[in-house]
Amino acid sequence: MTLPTLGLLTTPDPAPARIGSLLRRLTTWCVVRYSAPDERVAAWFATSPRALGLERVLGGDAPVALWVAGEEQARRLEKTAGVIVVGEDAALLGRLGTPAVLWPDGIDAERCRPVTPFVRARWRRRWGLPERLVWAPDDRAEPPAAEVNRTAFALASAVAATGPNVVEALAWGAPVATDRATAGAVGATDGREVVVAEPVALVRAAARLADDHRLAARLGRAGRRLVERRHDIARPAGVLASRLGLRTEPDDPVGRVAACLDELWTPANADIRLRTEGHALAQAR
Amino acid sequence: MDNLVGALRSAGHRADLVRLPVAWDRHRALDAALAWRMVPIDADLVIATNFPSYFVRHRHKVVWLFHQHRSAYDAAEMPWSDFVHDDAALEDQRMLADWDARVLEEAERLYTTSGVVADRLLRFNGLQATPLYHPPPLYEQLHPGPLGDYVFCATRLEHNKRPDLMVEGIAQSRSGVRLVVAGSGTLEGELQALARKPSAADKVDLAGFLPDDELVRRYGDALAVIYTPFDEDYGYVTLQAFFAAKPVITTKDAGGVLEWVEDGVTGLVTDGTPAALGEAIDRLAADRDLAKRMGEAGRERVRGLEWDSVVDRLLHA
Repeated sequence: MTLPTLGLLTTPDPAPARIGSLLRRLTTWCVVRYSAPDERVAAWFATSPRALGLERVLGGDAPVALWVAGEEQARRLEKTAGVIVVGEDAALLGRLGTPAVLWPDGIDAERCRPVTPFVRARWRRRWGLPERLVWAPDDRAEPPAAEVNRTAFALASAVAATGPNVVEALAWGAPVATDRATAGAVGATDGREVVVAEPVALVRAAARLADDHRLAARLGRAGRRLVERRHDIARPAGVLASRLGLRTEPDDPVGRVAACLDELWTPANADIRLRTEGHALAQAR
Repeated sequence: MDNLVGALRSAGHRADLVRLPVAWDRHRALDAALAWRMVPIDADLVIATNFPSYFVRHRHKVVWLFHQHRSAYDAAEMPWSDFVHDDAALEDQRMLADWDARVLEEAERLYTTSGVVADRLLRFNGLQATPLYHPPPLYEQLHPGPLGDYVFCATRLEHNKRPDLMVEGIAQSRSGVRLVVAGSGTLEGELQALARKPSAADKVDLAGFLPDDELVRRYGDALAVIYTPFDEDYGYVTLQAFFAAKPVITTKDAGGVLEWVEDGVTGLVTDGTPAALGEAIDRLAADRDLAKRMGEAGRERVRGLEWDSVVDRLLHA
């Protein structure tokens, strides 16, 4: 199966780091550094209006997306009719009055594998961790290494947290106790996706949640869905891929199996992907 | 499943049963789930009942869950489960639980065969479902009869059914009542050896497979029914006993059986030790009025259990 190629138009200036996570979500992509049309390219992505200055290479019908950051860049957009604007500033994109895709300050939920409470318990047993483990990262203290936090979010019986940690914990399917302000900010409801408690009582609320396996399982599942719905970067990436014509329905066995596995949020390195892709390829020969 | 298809057809619908082969080892169970995801179903509505059939994709999917892949859930610690405590198995278990939740969420309506199955779904997957009870096979033929001199059970002879417990229980009984067990399975040889022990000799009749009319007769003529599974999903044996107006002797860890058997009302719930089971058998042998009253209470308990209402709820919100 050949994936469509996205041509990346870029300049030596540093591009926003977040563009990388967006591009990884779209398709295979290549960097184009010369000024001639390229038949391989199904769509273009310019990392700035200046990079779009390479537009002389764009002879042909391939659609173009442009990352816009800041007012100054926005002012340079007059000459770019027909370009799909992408950015992380909702207010700025709204003022442009052109079809735009908002790339949220969200989370790549795909890298967070949701773990239900009973599997968490089995993992803890395997690694000799306490039967009940409540994780309470302190926003004010030096944050633990990302790997420590991720492991804790994946294995804890429950998490007591506020601020940005909450979205990450929910993405791992952790049962979460948080304060009212954070719940409101992430769009979570008390008793549906999180347990809301006063800041001083968060750890106690999380401990109670850890002991209520049914509630923990229900909140963990609903919390993960909230992240997928509102905070995951995959959805806008899908919108952009469709607008750029990069996303088509698979019409071959390998593609259909892969689409099924994607739909079920199967990790990229899951054993079943390798087995089914190998089998489908053998059948297709 | 055949009974469900029959009930749907009786209600005037065209219904076809779709089955795919499934293997139960960890990897092939996941493959089977994926295979169901790929099956095109041209129907107005799909009713899925078991793992992995509920992976089917359909715009009108109703799930009436009988069981998930139990080796990955409540039976994960059992010796026969291959979801062991290593990294690969735990990741497969994590993924299957996530897959299950996603495909079950797709259902327009989510029912389970019993409260036990609904509770497992909540505990393991965080999903809420409504129990939808249905009548057991032969329910229209089963009828009350005289209280005989044996306790009866029709069951597969497998570990989760714990038929050995019934044999050990009758061995402790002093009333002269016999145990008749209908059914076959992998434990047949072990049970025969157990039944030959001096304490159980002449008290146990391993009748093997029995045709339907003989099953109905055995239920009707029994003193009581004994059923001692571990964490049963639903338990047709209990319901069949009640349709035959027989009390049920069981254990406190029998799962779905306990949704029907109320201790001292429709049967006797024991602590599961052979001594307690033997004592329960002797109590009913000595007090036949009590056995009769409990049997009648059981029959009352299943009154109104019909396929019509099941079909109606499956097809209409």
